Amino acid sequence: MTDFLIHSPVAHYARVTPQQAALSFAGHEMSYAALDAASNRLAHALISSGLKRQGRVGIFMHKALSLGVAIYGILKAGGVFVPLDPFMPVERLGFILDDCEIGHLVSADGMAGALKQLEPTRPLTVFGVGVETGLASVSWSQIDAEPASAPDVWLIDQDLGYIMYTSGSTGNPKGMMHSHLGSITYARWGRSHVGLTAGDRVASHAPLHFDLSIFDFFSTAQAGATVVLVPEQVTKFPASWTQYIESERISVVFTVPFTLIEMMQRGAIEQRDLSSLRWILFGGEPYPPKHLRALMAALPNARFTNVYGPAEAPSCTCYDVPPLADDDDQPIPIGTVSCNSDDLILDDDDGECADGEAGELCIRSSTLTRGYWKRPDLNQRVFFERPSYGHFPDIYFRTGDYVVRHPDGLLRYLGRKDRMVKTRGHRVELDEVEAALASHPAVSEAAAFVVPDAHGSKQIHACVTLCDGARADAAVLMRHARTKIPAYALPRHLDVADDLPRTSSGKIDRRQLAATNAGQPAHGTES
Amino acid sequence: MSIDAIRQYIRVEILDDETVSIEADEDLMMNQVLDSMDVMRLVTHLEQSCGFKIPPQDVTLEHFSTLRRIDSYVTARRNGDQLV
Repeated sequence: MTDFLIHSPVAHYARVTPQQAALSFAGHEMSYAALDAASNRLAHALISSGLKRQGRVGIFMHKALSLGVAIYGILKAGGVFVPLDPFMPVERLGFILDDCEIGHLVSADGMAGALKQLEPTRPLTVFGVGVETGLASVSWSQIDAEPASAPDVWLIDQDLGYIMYTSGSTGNPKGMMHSHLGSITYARWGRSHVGLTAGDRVASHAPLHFDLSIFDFFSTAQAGATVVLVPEQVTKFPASWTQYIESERISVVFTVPFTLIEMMQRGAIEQRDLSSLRWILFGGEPYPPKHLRALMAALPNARFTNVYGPAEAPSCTCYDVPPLADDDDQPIPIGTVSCNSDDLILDDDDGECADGEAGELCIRSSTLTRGYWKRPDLNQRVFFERPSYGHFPDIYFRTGDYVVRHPDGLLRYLGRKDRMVKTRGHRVELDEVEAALASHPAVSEAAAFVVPDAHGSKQIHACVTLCDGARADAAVLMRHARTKIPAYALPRHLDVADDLPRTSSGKIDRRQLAATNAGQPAHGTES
Repeated sequence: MSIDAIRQYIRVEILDDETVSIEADEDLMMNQVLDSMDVMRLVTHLEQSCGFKIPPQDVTLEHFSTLRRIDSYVTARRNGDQLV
């Protein structure tokens, strides 16, 4: 196969194992042969509609078998797929379509409500929609009339495969460009690390616009295995999710800690046969050890890997978690750099840190983003040239994350650089504040954030949720935190809440917390 | 507990907006009426109002995705019906 392109495995396995399921969704399967033919037809339809090499094509739909057809159809046409959150407000959707100069969109009839509200600033053709939306549309029945043979498209591994939009500090999302080379390097790492084989059934639990999905689709395809798309409704109910793992015989899951905590606490795990589950990867945010320990005890046959990496450099580092001691509440290490990546830890003067010294993690790897779409200002800020090992200069990426390498050679994540707060003359890591609060047995999750006070300076506030059935008020938790962190790092205000706001990818939405807590009194401890 | 009562609880206690329209068969998750934490609040409320415990394995898509399904679940539990 043409093995330097991210979509090549589909055609390869369509020849080698044509009847093997490539995709599974809600009891329906699509074989590699069917996926290859369907995506070829979509590619022809896109090209006929004017798509040029490296043209951006949005994917705006809920989980379905056609999501896989969309991904591979766009890539086979030489296009760049742009995952769009199907729940995003129409205004934000319009911004991305405009910013990324998207002229083609693959969607579904169920998205007609949002599509009708769109006011595109350039010609937009929607594929996979057979109902009236007011936009130029090409239905699946029209696409099915296209040839099933592969279109003749020339691509190299430096061409882009996808652009992933994430929240930007300005309020507008920013797009990260990822090449075939970067994506395939990441996909191959995933296949190799987890030892994926054709018999694996890998969950697609994360939404497509979250970079965990790149592992789900492309590492799985590398092995000729099956992607099990998890309906969004199922992901909202922990007990439905564990039921789905059981009924779909899912063997590998890559998700965020929140999903796993919910699965453990409300998923009725003890009533399910989850013996098919052999490997759980997690990332996106720290996993409190007490929750991970509980899940490891409940699933003794599964392996667990902490995967670290910003969306700009997915899977920078990883750590296979050994059994955790009962009294161990130290944060889980992020481990060592994954294959084909180099790490460099720099201090504030760009000097290299010795082991044991905290600094910003910088990465040199082919998995790196090719940069932010139309944002030279951001590119200048996060990419820099530096001689690698004293020889030729190469490109490094500033992750914005503080880490330290311990004598055991493992990297520990200390927190975001922009989560380092100067308060009362001291530097405080907000993640350390969270870890201190979360180490109380009653606390399920903790979030620390900064709120400006009336004098223009910053105050640390925090919010926690409690474990099911646990009771603890803010005063008790503050007394506990005092035993873990210095007085200057204690939050000036602590809430005990029923729940924490979440981003669409399941992470705690600390910006939302900061915005809603602005104006809260200092020195408050409310429950 | 009726569909109207469940709808009213969601409007007043969870959404803080009594004017929101919620159809009986509307998918509460897909239409972003509720998130998973809101469901837990609703479960706690139902347990307190109805006087029975709702085990985690019952809090599923089948029983909690629409107002009508929630109502059917509560009715079945009250009648002591066997649940699937």
